[in-house]
Amino acid sequence: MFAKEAGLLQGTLELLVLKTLSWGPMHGYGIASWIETATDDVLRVEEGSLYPALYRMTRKGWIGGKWGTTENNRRAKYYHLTSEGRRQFVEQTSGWQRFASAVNQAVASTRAPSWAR
Amino acid sequence: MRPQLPWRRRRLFEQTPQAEVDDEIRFHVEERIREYIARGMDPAAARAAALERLGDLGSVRSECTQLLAEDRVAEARRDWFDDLRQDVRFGIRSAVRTPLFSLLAISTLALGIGANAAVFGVVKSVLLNALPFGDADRLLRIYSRMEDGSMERSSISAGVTVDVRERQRSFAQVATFFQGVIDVTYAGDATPRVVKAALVGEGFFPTLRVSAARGRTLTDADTKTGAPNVAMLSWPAWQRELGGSASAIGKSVRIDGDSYEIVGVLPRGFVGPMGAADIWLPLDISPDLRDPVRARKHHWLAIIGRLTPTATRELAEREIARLGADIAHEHPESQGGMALWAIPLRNDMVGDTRTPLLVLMASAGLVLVIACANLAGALLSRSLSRRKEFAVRIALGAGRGRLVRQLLTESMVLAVAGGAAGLALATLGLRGLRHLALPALPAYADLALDPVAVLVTSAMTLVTGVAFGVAPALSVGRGNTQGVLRDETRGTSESRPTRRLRGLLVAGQIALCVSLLAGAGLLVRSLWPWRRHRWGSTLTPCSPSRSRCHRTHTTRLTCARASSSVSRSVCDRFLASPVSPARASCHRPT
Repeated sequence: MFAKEAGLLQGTLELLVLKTLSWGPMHGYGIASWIETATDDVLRVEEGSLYPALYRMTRKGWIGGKWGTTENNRRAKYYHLTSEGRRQFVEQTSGWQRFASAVNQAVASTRAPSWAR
Repeated sequence: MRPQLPWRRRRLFEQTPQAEVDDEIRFHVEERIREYIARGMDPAAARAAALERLGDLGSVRSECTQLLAEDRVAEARRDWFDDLRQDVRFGIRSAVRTPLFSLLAISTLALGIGANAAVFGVVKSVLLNALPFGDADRLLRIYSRMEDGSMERSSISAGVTVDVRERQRSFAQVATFFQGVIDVTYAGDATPRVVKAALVGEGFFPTLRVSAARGRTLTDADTKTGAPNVAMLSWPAWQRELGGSASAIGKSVRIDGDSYEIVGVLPRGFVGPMGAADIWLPLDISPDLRDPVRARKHHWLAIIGRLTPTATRELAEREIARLGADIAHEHPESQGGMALWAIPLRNDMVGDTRTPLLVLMASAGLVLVIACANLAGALLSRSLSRRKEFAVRIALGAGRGRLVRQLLTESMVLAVAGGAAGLALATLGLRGLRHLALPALPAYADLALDPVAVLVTSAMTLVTGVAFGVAPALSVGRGNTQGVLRDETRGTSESRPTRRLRGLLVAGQIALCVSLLAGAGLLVRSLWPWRRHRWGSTLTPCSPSRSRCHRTHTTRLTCARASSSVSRSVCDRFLASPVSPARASCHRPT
């Protein structure tokens, strides 16, 4: 599960998309690239699940999509955060941090339980 | 947020969900290929790698397409409601801008709808609501009648009630009771006062299938000679006299000077076939039966029967008629020239209200139709004068459908306001009717605006709104924009089609007014007999001799009851009063 090129859990993917879009509007390819760069290629986005996730988040009203042009003058669909998406981002970030530090604390613990002594 | 195009316009530039998803994925794959080539792969390998990385292309495409289609539908719905809200706001604004017209429209509608709702309230409480008895449709009332036609709904002697009870086969249960109500003095905790009492004999409550709300009902044992004095209270009397307290059961009260124990309270809304009463007392007819003259010659009782499950109404009516003939044959000295007949209790209590009420309802419906037609005409003539405005809007790019919808919304705004005003009017009207018409309506009728009436009225309002919104809307849809803009510039006279339409409208208005007048005339004509005729068995007959007769029955009754001492004093008072000589008038001349 946490091997070097691990896939992403569904909820985690949504949080990472929200994080990406918090920098500004971006298309699907750009979102996937940024996540990989930002995690130093540790996390690899499953593209087969990225697009359904984007549409699902649109349906939930967290993000919106608009067609625009790239720097190379190509048509692409740019996603942006809605106000609800921004709220979700803040909420999910703090939730993730609590979760990650709790798991981290348990995994890094050096105190043996009573039954192991 | 940047301003959005109206949704129809936006749709024009939008791709199908499938095409949009394909475009997006194509862009992604091409970017990925470009990236791989930049890293030094050859184009064919780069393409294969990019596609492989995307996974199952088919399922991604179909999933995304479906999600996008759902999103589009939801968005269209949101837009529709936005438009509606905008239309309603515009409708209210334009209604406020022409206050006189709006006032006319709303008050016309309010009158039509209010009359309808009020009449429906009456019709429902009288015709549709069940009588306050269990399975009331299987109850028949038995009357005697003089064959010379002098008396149609006459009461029955004690002897005949026993004959009927013993010989009939059509009824599962038979109830005997005094046909009217009497005044008694009642003394509970407060000072004595005069209240109405009903006297019920054998089998009364089981036949009507009425059970007590508190305590028990009167039983056959209570009607036997020498049984202890017991009484039941009606629900209103229980509330009024004893404050609705549970300790009322078993309480001892004085009725006409004697002590009675209260054994039960009748359900709320219960009204007997003899009319509303405060106190219900058991009736013992055995003193009458013991007296050979009184047993046959004093006609003061009434009978109600409940059909057996197998008997039909026609069968029972035939049997009662035959029984009456037999009894008349056996007792020519007291029953000669008298016949027995049966009538469904509902018809007896509702009386002749059915036909006039239905006529009244149809007339009120006609008034509503006329109100709607009038309004449609007024709106149409107004939309004629607004044709130029519409033409300009169409020229500026408003869709015809959108204009039609907006006109419909405008008329709906008026209709809803009219409906609300109409409901208020109906509530007031029913309150007025309750005071005016209560003596004329069956005793159990509880005039109130019930939920069904409100629902029906709301439906009428909606239909009205659509109905009189459609005519002007259609006239807009047909218009020739350029012609209108050219013809109806300021100062030019009406174009020929406009004039013809207006002429048609005036003719229509006159036709409707004539039909309204005719309808009103018919309504008055149908109500005219009501003025003199009063109906329902709850009323005492009106002719002087018969009302004397009624009082004499009371006297008889109290005398008959004297052995168990309901009221010697009342009896004495009656016998001493000037009406007592008229007692002879209710006996058959011998």
